Amino acid sequence: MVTSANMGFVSYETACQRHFDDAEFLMAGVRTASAAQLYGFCAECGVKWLLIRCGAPTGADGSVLSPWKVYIEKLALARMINDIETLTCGRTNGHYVAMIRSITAFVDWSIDHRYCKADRSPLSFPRWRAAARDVRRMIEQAMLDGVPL
Amino acid sequence: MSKVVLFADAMTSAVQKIGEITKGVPAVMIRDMSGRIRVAINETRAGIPPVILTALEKAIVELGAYAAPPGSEILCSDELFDPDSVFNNPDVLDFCPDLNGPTVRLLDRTVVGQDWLRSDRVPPAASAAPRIAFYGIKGGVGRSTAMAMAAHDLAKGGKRVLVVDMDLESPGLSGLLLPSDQVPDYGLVDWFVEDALGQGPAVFDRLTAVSPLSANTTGEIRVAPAIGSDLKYYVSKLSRVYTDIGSEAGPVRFIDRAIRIVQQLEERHRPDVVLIDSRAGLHDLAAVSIVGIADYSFLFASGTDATWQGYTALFSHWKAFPEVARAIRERLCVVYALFPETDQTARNQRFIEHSYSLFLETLYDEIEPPTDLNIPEQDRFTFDQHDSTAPHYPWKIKWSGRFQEFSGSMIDQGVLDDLDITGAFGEFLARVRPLAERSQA
Repeated sequence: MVTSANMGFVSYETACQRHFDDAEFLMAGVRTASAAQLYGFCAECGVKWLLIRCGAPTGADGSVLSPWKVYIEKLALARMINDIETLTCGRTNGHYVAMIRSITAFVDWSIDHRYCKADRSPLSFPRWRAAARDVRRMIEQAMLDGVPL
Repeated sequence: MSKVVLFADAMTSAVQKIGEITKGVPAVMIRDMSGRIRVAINETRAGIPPVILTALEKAIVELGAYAAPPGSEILCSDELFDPDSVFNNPDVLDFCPDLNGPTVRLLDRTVVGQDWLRSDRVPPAASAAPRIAFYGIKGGVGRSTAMAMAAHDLAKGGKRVLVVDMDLESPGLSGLLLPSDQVPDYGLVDWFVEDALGQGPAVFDRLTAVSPLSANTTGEIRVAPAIGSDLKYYVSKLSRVYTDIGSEAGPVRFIDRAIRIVQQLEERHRPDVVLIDSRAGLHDLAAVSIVGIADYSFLFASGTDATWQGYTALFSHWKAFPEVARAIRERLCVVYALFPETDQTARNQRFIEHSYSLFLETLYDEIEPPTDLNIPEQDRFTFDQHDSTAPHYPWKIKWSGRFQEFSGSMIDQGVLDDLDITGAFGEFLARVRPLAERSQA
């Protein structure tokens, strides 16, 4: 529910940067499993920012509306990527999509990894980290390009 | 209400003030897609004297609507996620809109038009086939006809000529050089669309056809048209070709794909010379041909005010970026197209004066350069007005009613003979021939 308190509460670009920075902080402390989760959140936020640029509707709090709102709960980052390719139009957005081609690395990322045993950290996390870095780079590029964030 | 600052005033003020403040500072001015200005400094914020930060912020805020959003006017290296993407970006160029004014390093983020400023073109190998672009700031000056005549003349001289139609938005060169039943199955637009999905090789072998115009010559004219025999979906395909495509190494721009397909065609067909039909005007496609692909660019002009206005706009843009201007100016040749039948001496003189003035004010080094430029006299790129070897000195193509509605078959069928061709194109063709020699590239 949107109230005056949470009006414009959501900022995917800020959250994308924060999750990446926090993930790197955890990586430095060898907290790999939790860092791996945050790389996924970073990607989710970057993809949702791009979805909005490509025309996905938003609520008053700034969050992307259904059906994309629930994707992360359904563990479907890959499906969001499909939607971006479906919605992308225009040269600039095409450039940003081309910048995050590596995002398909998240195809085996799961929100359920938060339950994993301490010694069962996902083996894919180096690829997730590289892909999250590309997403983070895309957000910075958009800022420098003067794209409304 | 604060004073409204418009684009030109904002840019003048930005270069003047930011240029002065950042002298000796590793700074890059970034002009975003709306024209808003911010400055990135390759130094941590703590390492920059506060007086510089304060002065810079004030200078940027004074740009009004052309200032970056509050809080992001200045970005330091420790505040950027990927400083390399700014400080080592190949698109960063010296920007000096006023000859005696300051120079700033500029990263110009544009929606289109970036390719006019490409300065990292790799020079061709001495053994490479020369590439010549035919370009006009305005259409309708006989550019394609001149290209067909040049191709025919070079083929008569035994050359293998590859003609590439880069005028994707207004395809038609194949109509001049290929009968409709000999147009290849696919055109360049098909290759661009398929290449984006990794399927370029599926159409590559059916992108060219040999023109019958070379049938009675000792050479060959091979045409790579923009459009293939199947016209269906052309606009749908064209609407997709310009987008960047993803790769392991990052986004690949259209200009790089265009250069790649020309290289692939050269490797396959081993031409002696490549003629490129460029899009007219200030479109990105023209930049791809002139800046990205060609060793020489013929600039077609008819002598009208509109023509000079257009070329002045383009040359002035290059002038503000000295690295680009220096890279491009030696590769330009002005062509006086549709040279009229009457009042020729006076018209020719007027044309030369216009052309000389344009080059002198934009691309030639001034006779007396500013002292800090310090270019030895013998190294200055400047010419006398009547120096026939100078880029501004026009190569004339005479207007002739015989070439109205020209097509290659008019030569095959004897509608046009050697006298017609020599009469209209003789001077032009004589000057094209030496450029088509490999050692000239």
